[in-house]
Amino acid sequence: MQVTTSRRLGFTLVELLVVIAIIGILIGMLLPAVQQVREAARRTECLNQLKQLGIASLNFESAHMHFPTSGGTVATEWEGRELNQPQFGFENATWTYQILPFLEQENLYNRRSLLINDWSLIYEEDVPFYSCPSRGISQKLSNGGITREFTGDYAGVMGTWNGDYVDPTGAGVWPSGDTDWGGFQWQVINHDINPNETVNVWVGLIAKGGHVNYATDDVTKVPRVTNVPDGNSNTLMYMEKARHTSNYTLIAEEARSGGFWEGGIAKPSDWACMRGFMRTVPINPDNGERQRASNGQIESEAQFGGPHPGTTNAVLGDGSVHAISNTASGAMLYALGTRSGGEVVNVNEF
Amino acid sequence: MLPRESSYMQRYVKSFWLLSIVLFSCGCGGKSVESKIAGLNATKIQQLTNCYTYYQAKHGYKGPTDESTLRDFITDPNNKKGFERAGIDISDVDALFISERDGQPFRVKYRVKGSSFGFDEAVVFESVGVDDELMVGFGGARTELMSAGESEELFKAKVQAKAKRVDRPEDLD
Repeated sequence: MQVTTSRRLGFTLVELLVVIAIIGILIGMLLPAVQQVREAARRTECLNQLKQLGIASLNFESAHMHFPTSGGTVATEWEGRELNQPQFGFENATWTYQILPFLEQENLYNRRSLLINDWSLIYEEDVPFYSCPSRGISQKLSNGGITREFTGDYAGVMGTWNGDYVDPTGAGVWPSGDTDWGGFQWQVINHDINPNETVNVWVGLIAKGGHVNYATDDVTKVPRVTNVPDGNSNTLMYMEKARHTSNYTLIAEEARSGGFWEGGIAKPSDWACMRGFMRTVPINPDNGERQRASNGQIESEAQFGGPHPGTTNAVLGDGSVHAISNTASGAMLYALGTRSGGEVVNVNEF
Repeated sequence: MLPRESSYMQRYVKSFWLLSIVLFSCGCGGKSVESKIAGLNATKIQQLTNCYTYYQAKHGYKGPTDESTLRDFITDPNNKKGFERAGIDISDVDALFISERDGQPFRVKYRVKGSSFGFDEAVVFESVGVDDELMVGFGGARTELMSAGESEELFKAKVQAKAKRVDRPEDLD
């Protein structure tokens, strides 16, 4: 007679399904929280980097007796002059180049002496301090990949141009004569070097190099710490640049025509290093609807904005860092951008 | 008959490959920078157009005045690194000016002004083409096939310089 014994060697199907379901529920509950914690860590790291930029800029100010500038005009980079030293009686490279020695990047800074006819020895190099950890280091391709440029994630706040400013008695009033795009006049490309320029000058903390500033705030020099009537603790210095998520890591050729990307950390007074606020979309987060135009092209990367949920990081003139709400009003941000607008603004309210 | 363990192993191996193929086709393999650059320089007309726009970028966005200027620029040792990275063979510069489709020299539109704000004008044209279609090279590493008439029209068209820097982004309203 054969005797059969029943020994359970494994789990039943039902048991397995129940366990899998429980694990699934736990993952579903924990994963978003874990991702948010990771993002919070990246945001903190981003704030820390901005803090370093702020301290480096203040150290620069201490050494040079003025804040770093946005450099010369676009033309100063491209006019075929020798580039191994400042050319026009002032520094024509932008703030991202100017503060390199104060970020312990003096070796990169000193490469300038090797430059012959282009900046590639400098602008091809990745500078991790200029990259938000939530996006990662990115490079921009142009001319079919012949040119590759490291693109930073932070830009100076230009305030506005030509002395226009928001009426301090009526928050929300945009500069006279301008509509939506107001307060943000760009320079004319390739215009001649003109130290006496009276238009297209900016009234933020980071001003154009070599230009006597005829803004109505009566600040007639490149701003120093003592030359900021609004107060350094009330004036934005640098902020995160807007970027569509598709332009993380590699900004391809086709993004050039649709977007506003300019590569190269040394590029003077251009989208690469300077941004402003627009009234309709003062801050444009990376996944914002406004990033993509109706024709499908990536646009609207001209503004500030960041990858962090709900906020965009910024550093003020006193070196303090703030995560500013993406819903902050344009007028208030605009007021924070000017160094001498006379507005009463509390950055902690954003 | 194979032992049972071996059969299981085969199933695992098969599953692994199947999963790998599925993940790769879903995009996990990614597209490297090098392959993207290679795609932008796959043909001579793309390469020559990219050389042209590179010239513009390094000369205040002014286009080369003639073929010899462009040739000198391409063979300038200072520019070698960028061309090599893009896979453009500058040791045979003559070949750059000849279309591999029709074997004829390209027609190049010189003195076209570029812009740091973007450049999408036609600058390099096939002179004969294939099957009544001519390839035309535009800024932004774009090429397009078109009829001889359209190509000629573009070749003769005066290019409007994008001098105005103040443009507001479209579609923001």
